[in-house]
Amino acid sequence: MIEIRGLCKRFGRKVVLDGVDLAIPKGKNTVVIGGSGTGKSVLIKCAVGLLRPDAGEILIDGADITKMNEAERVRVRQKFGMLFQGAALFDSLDVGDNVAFALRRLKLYPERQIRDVVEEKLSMVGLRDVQRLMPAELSGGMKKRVGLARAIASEPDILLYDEPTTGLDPIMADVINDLIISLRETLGVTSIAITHDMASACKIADSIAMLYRGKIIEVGTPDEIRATSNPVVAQFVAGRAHGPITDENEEFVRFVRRTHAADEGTRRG
Amino acid sequence: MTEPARRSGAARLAEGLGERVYAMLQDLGDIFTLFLQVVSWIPRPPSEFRNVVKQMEEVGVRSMPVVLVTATFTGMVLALQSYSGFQRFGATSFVGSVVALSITRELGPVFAGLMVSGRVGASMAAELGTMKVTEQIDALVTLATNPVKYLVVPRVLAATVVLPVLVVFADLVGILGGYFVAVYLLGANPYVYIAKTYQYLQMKDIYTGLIKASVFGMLIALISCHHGFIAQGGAEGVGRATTRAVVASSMMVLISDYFMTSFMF
Amino acid sequence: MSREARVGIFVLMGLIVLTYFTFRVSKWGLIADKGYRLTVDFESAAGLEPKSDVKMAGVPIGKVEEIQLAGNRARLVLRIAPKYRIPIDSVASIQTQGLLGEKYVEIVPGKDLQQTLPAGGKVTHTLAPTNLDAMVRKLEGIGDDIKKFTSTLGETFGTEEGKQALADILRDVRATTASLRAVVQGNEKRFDRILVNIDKLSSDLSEISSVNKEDLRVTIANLRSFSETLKSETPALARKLEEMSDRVSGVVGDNRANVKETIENLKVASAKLDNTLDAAGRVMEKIDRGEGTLGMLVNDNTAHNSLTKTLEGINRYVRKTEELKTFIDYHLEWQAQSSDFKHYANLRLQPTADKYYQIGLVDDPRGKLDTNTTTLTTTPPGTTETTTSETYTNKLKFTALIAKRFSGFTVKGGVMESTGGVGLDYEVLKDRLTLGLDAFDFSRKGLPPHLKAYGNYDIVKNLFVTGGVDDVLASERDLRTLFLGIGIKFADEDLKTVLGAVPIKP
Repeated sequence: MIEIRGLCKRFGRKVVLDGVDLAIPKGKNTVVIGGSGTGKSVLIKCAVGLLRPDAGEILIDGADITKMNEAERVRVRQKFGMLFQGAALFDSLDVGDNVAFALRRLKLYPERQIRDVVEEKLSMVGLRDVQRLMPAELSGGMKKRVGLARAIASEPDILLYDEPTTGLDPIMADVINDLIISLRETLGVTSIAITHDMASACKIADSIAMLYRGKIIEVGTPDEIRATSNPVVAQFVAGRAHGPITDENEEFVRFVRRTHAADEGTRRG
Repeated sequence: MTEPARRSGAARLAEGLGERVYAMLQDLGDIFTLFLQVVSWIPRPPSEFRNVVKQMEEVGVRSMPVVLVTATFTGMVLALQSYSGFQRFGATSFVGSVVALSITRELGPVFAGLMVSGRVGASMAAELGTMKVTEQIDALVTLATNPVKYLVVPRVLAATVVLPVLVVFADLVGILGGYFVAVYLLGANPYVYIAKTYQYLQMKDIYTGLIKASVFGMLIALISCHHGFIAQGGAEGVGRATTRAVVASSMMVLISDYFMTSFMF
Repeated sequence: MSREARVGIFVLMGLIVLTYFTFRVSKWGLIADKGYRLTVDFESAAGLEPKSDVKMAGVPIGKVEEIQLAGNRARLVLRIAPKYRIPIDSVASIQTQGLLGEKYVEIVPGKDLQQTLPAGGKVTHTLAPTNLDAMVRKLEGIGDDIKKFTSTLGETFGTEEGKQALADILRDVRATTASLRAVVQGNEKRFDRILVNIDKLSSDLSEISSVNKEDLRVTIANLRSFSETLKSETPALARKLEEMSDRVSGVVGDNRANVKETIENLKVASAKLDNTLDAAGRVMEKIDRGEGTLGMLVNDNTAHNSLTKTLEGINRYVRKTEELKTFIDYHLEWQAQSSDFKHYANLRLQPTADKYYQIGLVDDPRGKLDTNTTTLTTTPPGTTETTTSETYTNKLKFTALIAKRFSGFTVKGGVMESTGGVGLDYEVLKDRLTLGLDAFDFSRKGLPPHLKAYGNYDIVKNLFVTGGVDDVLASERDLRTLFLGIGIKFADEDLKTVLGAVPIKP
């Protein structure tokens, strides 16, 4: 169970998260959707403690990660596994060592068993006999799957997916979607995924939350979200080019054009 | 129209300068903080023995050719220059002493430091910078691993240990290079040359050179790792970080060299 | 080749080169303790440095090892290669070589080849570096004095009183020549030495002049002005001398009998001197041929050698008992991997500076490894679970070592932590920092030998810190660990103070 309350995060003058409230139920897939640059990544990086929020609380099983010291945070972080957008495999290590990384660091298994454990984790994401390959030799989809195997290797309670299907062809994206669902079913993990891919979101989510202008504006099951009355959510779900999200931008674009033209006019005069 | 433009230009310049100075101070503070973190992480388990050995190979073994070639030619040109200078007042027998003292006290450590800055500093900054922009460093954190402990500690330890070893070799081949030029090209007496080489040389000269080298190694690794860590913005950002790391670590080698020399001698 | 091997070779080669430098650079390197020491005092050792050459007849025979201040004079400690013997009456001086003024110590060998300086001896004859300019000024003064003297003389002999005085003088001369006979008999050797010294002086002078050409030029100029003064003064001087000699001849005429007797005496004296010298010559020849007891003693090499050896033996023994030192140390090491403390207590007996014996106890928290295998049968029946646990228990171990030091290196061997072991220490920064490697327990089951790399640093005399990696080669079972530690140590003189008891000496 993860509970986020009043989370705020700024970078310089730019406010990215402006009081996010979100409850993620245990054993469910929660998907956060939103446009590019709306702070989805920032949200999950705060959750895992990679970024320090400016205000607000993040309760992991009742304990507030924002108020912890480094040692406590390291301990809580062991409950997390995270799949990064570009998989973030370590280039200098082969696939086997990548997956075994946390196992070795935490000494979860004796060295002679590690190869077998790694093979088992890789088979869970549908790969075999790839331990000796280097990350550079893998395709994008394989990288994601190895990244997933690495994230689940230390058997975390919570899995975080950062854009799990971005950059993949539709077939491979669906393979990843199926994997995410099967992991929830077999391992019973709590998971948060962030994506702007509505098809993926609807497929994997138990509930969907929409992040817009630094706040969660709607939470619901995929069906509820699809049937929403909120125009912002509706525009995003339908993927329309015109609507409240883009209107505001167009207004801004017009404003810029106008002032620019006025400037030119004064200079000429 | 011109007057306000000029003023704003001056203001911009001052502002730019202020930003530069501020950025430099921030870098300095960050590097010192990184140093403290490294020190605090060194004794904590797990030991990064394998990683240290890997970095020792990278920093030490692979830098051998470039350091040896540099040191050989430095010794050779020193012998050539000092021979033609000393010949004017008939003191050519001191060429050996000059070469040995210059190499062990100053040129061996500094040139090895500069070569390693260029070679290793760049690769460290590029590797860590790439890891930063591809989120590998974030991945480390989520895999229960402190990036400073896993990435910076082995590099700093390896560079600190290995640079003195490189300098020992540099001292040897520098002296041999000087010997070669003096004896075979300029016709100096080999017995006198060797006698003079060791007559005024003290262990203190060699040790201070090695201590300097150790500090250079530590600084190069710290600075390069720092610039790798703060890299952002894709391949271009990594390139910028690499350039900054090489420039900053080369400068720090020379600056710290002056202060260490003034403290030690 | 594995990465570890490549790095290992790299570091090892670096250490070998550093060792080579250590031996080349540290005073005499490998033959540091060969050769013997001599001391010599000079008014000033300006320009000399440790490792400056010592030459005899221009041949390098050793180096200056130390330069100290003894009282207000400079004391040099010279290290002379063992094959060179230096006559006891040799003269040491500081010479300059070349234009840039590199100084060295020149020893002009004495004539006494039978008696040479022993180890630790002192060269008593020295020649101060002479300043020619000062010498010329002095000569000028002497010229003035002579002038004054002769004029006084002339005045003196002009009077009756003076004549009488001269008569007295001549009487004295007679008495003097009579006693000369006796004196000459006893002191022929001294004359000999004086002649040698004069000889040496003139050779030194010629050397000095060749080296100090610039000085010489000035000197010559001064001499010229001196001689010019002399020329202008000469006529007057000659007149005075003429007058004086006139008077002297008058006086002599009056005292003819006295003079005659004087000359007789001189003749007899010189004849006696002749005889004495003849006799001395004969005695020397005999000694040379080995006749008589003295001759045998002098010429018998074996006797001489055995005497020297005996003396050396006694010397060494005396030194031994004087130098035996006792050290006690205790330190504890915090081992990072197990978060445990390992304790060490050692007693070290050091009979000479380059050798010691050490016995000690080690309390090792991971000294003993027990492996337990438990098999549990759980429900559902038939499922078994096997657990293997490895536990370490405390064990007391002992150490007994012999160590020998070569230059900065100390090689150790013996029993280490209750197993056979060898070790190598390297001491730097005036022995305050010790870097070392110990290898022991070569027959561990399934594990490489126990290798310990450590560094000890003496913060103050009785307190040191230590740190390093224990069990470097063992990559399994978490045996390899960093360690940090602190310790205390006492030498016997400290213990004396601490215990207020008798010195601990066997």
